[in-house]
Parts: sequence; C-alpha cells; structure tokens
Amino acid sequence: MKRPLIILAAVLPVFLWSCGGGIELSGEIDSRPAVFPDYSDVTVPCNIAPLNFRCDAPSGKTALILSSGDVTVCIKGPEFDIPIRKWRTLTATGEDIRAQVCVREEDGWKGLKPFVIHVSADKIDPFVAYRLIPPGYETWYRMGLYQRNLESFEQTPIITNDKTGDNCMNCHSFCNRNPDRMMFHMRAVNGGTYTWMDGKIEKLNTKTPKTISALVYPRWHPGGRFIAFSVNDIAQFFHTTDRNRIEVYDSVSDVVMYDTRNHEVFTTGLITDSTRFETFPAFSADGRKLFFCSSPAQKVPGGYKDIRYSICSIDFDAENKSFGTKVDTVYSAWKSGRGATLPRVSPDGRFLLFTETDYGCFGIWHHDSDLHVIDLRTGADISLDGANSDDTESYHCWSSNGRWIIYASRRLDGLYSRLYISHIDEDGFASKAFLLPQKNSWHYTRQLESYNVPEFITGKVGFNMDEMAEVARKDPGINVSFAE
Amino acid sequence: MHFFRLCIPILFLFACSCSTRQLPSTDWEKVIATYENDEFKVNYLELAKLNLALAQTGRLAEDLFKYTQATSLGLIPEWNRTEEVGRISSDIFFAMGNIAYSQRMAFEANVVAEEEYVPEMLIRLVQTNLIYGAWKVAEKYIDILESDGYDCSRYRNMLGNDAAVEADPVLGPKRRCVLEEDRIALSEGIEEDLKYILRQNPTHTITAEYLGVMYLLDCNMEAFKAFLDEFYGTVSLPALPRSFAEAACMLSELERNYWKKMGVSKKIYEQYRDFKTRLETGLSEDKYKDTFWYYIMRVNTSL
Repeated sequence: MKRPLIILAAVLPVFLWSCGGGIELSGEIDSRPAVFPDYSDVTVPCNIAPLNFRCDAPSGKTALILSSGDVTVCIKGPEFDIPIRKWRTLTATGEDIRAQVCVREEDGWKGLKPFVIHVSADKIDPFVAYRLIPPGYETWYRMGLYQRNLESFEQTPIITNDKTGDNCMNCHSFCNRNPDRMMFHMRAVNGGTYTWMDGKIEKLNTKTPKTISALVYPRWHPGGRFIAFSVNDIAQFFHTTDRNRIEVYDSVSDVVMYDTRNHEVFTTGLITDSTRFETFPAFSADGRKLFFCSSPAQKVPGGYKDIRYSICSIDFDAENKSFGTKVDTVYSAWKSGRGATLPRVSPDGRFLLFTETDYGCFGIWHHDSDLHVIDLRTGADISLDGANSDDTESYHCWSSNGRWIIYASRRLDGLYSRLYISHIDEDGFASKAFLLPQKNSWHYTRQLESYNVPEFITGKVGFNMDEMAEVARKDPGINVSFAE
Repeated sequence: MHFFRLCIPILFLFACSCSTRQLPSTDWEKVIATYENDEFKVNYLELAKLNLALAQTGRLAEDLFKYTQATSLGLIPEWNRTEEVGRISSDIFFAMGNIAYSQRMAFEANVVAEEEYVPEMLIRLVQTNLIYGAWKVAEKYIDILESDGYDCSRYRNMLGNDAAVEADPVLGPKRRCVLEEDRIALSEGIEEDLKYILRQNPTHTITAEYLGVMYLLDCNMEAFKAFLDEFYGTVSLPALPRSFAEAACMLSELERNYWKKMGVSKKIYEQYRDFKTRLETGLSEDKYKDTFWYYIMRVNTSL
C-alpha cells in the first residue's frame, strides 16, 4: 500500500536542506503556526518522550527553534523530529520550553508566534499498557495488548492474538501499576482469565453456576490478593441515525470478589441486587472501600436511554473477606441527570475520577462523555476542562504519584481513541491535555486502531508471550468456585 | 555515468508514484453478463452479487427469476466474518439505503482484511461518514487514500459541505434514506428497516425492489400483499415489475381480481392461468421456468 512517493518525500528533503547549527531570524510573523499535534501551552512531565510535531506550512522551508534556560535547539521541518538527547537537555533545565516555528521567505527567516510547553518536575510512570483494536463492531483480526515506553517511542507487545488462535483479548488490569501483577481475559478460542503473579501464569475458568457470566470488568485490590469483577450479560446494537453509532448495554450485571489464593468468588446481596445493574468495581486507595456503578435495572434494549449509573461504595474488609452492611451513594445520577462509569480513585485517596455520560455504561461510544472528578474529602465537583474536549473522553487512570491522568479521547476524528495525558494539580484541576507523542507526526492519521484502556505501569510486563500462549493453548485452566 | 544509471530507477519510481489512482468502480452490466449462461455455481454469495447487479441496473424485480434463486439469503448473505461477505453486504446495504449497516459491514470488511484496508471499503467509509456529516473521520480516510495515490478530490470537496453531499447524485439520495428519527438498526428485521426507509424517501425505488423481492424469495405472500397495498401506485412503486405482477396474480386466489387492482396486464394473468392448468394436468411447466410461479412451486415441492 505504501507508495514510493512517501519514501521519496521522506528522503529528498534530507538532501535538499538541513537545519545545521541554527538560523538567524530577520523578522516576525504575527500568526500562529498550523501544527499537529497541538502542543501549545500544554504541561508535560520532565521525563516524557520528545513532542514531535509537524507544521502544515503551505510551502518553503520551515524550522523549529526550541529554547529553555540557556539551551537552544534548532530542528528542520516541516516534520519536527526532535532527537531525544537534545530534548532531554531542554527538559533538564527545569524551565518551560519556548517553541517557535520559522519559515524561510525571500528576504530571510521569519518567526511565527511562539508557544510555550510547560515542563513539570512531576514525573510520569515510565510505561503505559493498552489494547490496540479497530474501533469496530464485532469482528477482529489482529489484536493485542501493548506497552509503550513513555520516555521514548518504543512500543512492544505484551501479548498478541496471532499467538493465541486469533482470539479476542481484553480487560487488562494491574495491581497498583505493578507489571508483575497483571490479569487479562481471552475470549473465544482459549477463552479464560489469565493472571500473572509472583512469576506464575494461571489460566482460570471463571463462570460458576451462581454467577451471571464469566468474570468481566476487573479492578485489583491494592493488597494484591483480591480482584473485584463485574459479571455481565453484555449486548450491543447499532443506531440508524444517532451520532453515537453503537450502543453497548447490559441486560443484567452484578459485582463479585475473586480471591486469588483459593480461586473462589464471593459477594454480598448488596452488590448483586436483581433490581439493579451493578458494574465497574474499583477500590479506594487503602482498599477499605469498594466503589461500583449502580443503576436501577431497565428493560433492554428499549429502555437503554434510561440506564444511568450512580457511583456507590461499600466497606470491604480484606482481612475477614467481608463486606459492609450498607451502600453509600458517592455520585447520584438521579441528582445530576447524567450517569457515571469507570470510577478510579487517586493514589492519595482524595479524588474520584470517572466518566460522566448522558446514559448507559459504555461512555467510549458516546460523544458527550467527559471526565469528571469528585473531591472525596469535601464532596466538591471538579470539572476537568483542561482534559475534556467536545468529543469522547473515557478509559482513564491515575499515575503512581497522582499527578497525571492518561485516558482515551476521540477528539481528533470522532471515532479513533487516542491517548491524552493531563497534569492534575493538588486541587484536582487539569492542565491542557497533550496527545501521546509519536516518533512520526503522521502516525495517528495512518493508524486504523484505537487505544483502549490505558493503564500506567511502573515497568515492562515480565511474562514471556510464548509461555503465555502455551498456557492458553494447553492448560485446561483452574475452575473458579463460588463461595456461599 | 554511474550516477545517471542510478537515477533511472529512481525517476521511474517517482513517475509511478505521481500517477493518480482512480477510485474503483463497477460495471454492473458486465457483472450480469458473467451470470448470463446460468451455469455459475449457485450459492448465496454469487446470487447476492448477481442480484445486486440487477438492482443497480433497475432490473431486480423484473428479471430475478430469469436466474436460479434461493431464498432471501441470495439477496443478502449471512454474515460469516469474512472480507468477501463484508464487502458485498456493505454494497447491498448501501444500495438498499441502509447506511448504518452499510457502514458497519464496510468497517467489518476492513477489519478482517489481510491488507491494511480494502480500498473500496475505505471509500464506503468515506461515503457513509459524509452522508452522516462525520467530516473529521471522513477526512482521515480521505487522507489515507490520497497518501496512497487515490484521487479523492470529489469527496474532499464535500467535507463540511452539506449542500454538496445533498447535491451529489450518489450520496444525496442515500442521505435522504437516513431516518430522521433514530431507531435500533435491524431490530425488527431487514424488511421493517426497508419500509421505514421507503416511507421517508419514497423515490428510492431500489429499496422497494429489494423489499418486495425479499418477501417473494421467502414466499411470504401475506407480507408481500401488505407491501403492495401500501406502496403500489405511489412514487415508490408506480407500476408492478414482472415478478411482482406474477405474485399479484397468485394473490388473486385470495382476493378476487386483485391482479386488476394492481394493474397487471391480462397477458400475464392468462399466463398464470395456463401455468396453473399445466400444474393441475401434469403438463410441463418448463416454459414458465423464469417466473415467480415456478419458483414458489419448486420451493413448495422441496419442502
């Protein structure tokens, strides 16, 4: 598919022109450069990979002058591929970076309006794990879980389905961002839940006669022994007209707890109420509370627009494997008129981050979905204007230090989820988000896959892909039982 | 000298790369011609291709029984998660005016393709997104096609321009098929969706052809009669094509002179009476092999 034109277009400018040791400006132009991605006025962690971008200048030579403290770097354009070593000298100054795109005109180089990249001393976790998948309907072909080094551009597979019979894999989750304590599901061929703990792979058959389905949406308890899951009967349909193309919904759902020590599932009637849909569990930072989403059950598909999830919590005692006796409502869909999904508590336990959407459980398919924060200390609502856009935001998670969130947004084209990162200050406010940088600024244009469920991790996942594939193929799996 | 020798292949590559690729298009008459000898392997997929070609040339309800037919699966094959079925299904739904499902199947075909994408299906995604006014994602697909050398200027000019989409001879009529009131696609079956489309865009006559033919191929005479009662005499179905007229003759067994009410010619009605006589007296019905009567008799015999 790739045409020779692309190769020539990439190679020829190298022979024609090089930025060399810098340029001298003979004037300024009072307009902003048309650049992609837009990195103006964003806040980035000091250890992030270079923010490569391109300038869509109509013609002529372009250059980029980056300066921070007493460091100045000049990069040739129109695709500004910033060498990582030069980028590090810029981010190491402890000051903001000033970026100025310059264009060569007949009477010399002119500088367009510069913009600023704020560099935060708050570091970001070095890796993010995600699934790459076409944002499609029901089929898949190639699919995999990947990990990206945020300090460089390296992306490596965690596991890809070409090793496991072209099956579906999803719902990866880590305990406290620990790459050595992970789980994910495979569906269809070699179906099962796979855990990677203490250097050991386990395959689990998680459907029990007492639960609605096999285990679905996971969240690890911070102690590492338990994983909370929802069990759901999931369906989807297609709209004829609505901007939201697809509707994914549950016809029933509950929340259960899985004990990794004895392969048992247990629960309580308070989170398995047949008159309600309970889903998307999550834990408080200290593990003493289980958060989950809960909506009055509706008849589906007809009543799909009436499904609005509140965020509730119940006490959880990991020592005694017991739940509290009452359910509290943290966020009321009834009061706000909008539903909430995917609760995620900040590592310091103070902020509850979630997706707010008009209705339903799959905010990623709703253009109105936004991120929202509640201060659990004061109960105050915090709107994340810097992180949100006029399109979908969802699939969010916190960095280890609680200063960064990474999430999926469909703002570029309304369909393909891309990863955005926002700095969160001590009051819970978000800085202007920046698009996960790529080596090639055309990367996202060409890419026909979505980034799905980004999860920060503190290092690379340690299991061997072939070993995991062998377990998937050969191991019959451990049958999970239900503890009454 | 060596330098110039090196330049030749580079210049050749450059010249190749500069040639613009035309967007693929289909010659429907040629497609039909490949089925003319009626010796093609009868399977649902081949029938769906043939019937699509007949529909695109306005001959589906007129000529379908000139070819061996086999239930409505020969109109729209069952989705089996293959690129080929995804492609043809997208084409068929597009022809019918079911834009949501055309888009869905184009997407599915691209996903299961071995290649990065299927050009025809990426174009379909451009078309359907332009129809829905989803400009940004349409532009993304245009960018990809253009970077691979396809001439997408026609579609690029429509970005952000509702009037241009509505004026386009292909996309305009399809946009008018998108239901004003959102529904769950196919929740009541393909036929019900086609009715909604036809009620909203009565001039989209290909939808009427598909709908009526779908009933006939499934021998659903009750639904077919309701279809005629609703749409005959409207702009959707001003006159009955051959297969519909033949079915209307049969419906006259239930409602006296129904064929007259539906404007069926006396000649066709007499042919129907002759067919019946042959059936009752054991004479060969082979001269009516290309009729709905023969088709329904064959289906009933095989039951």
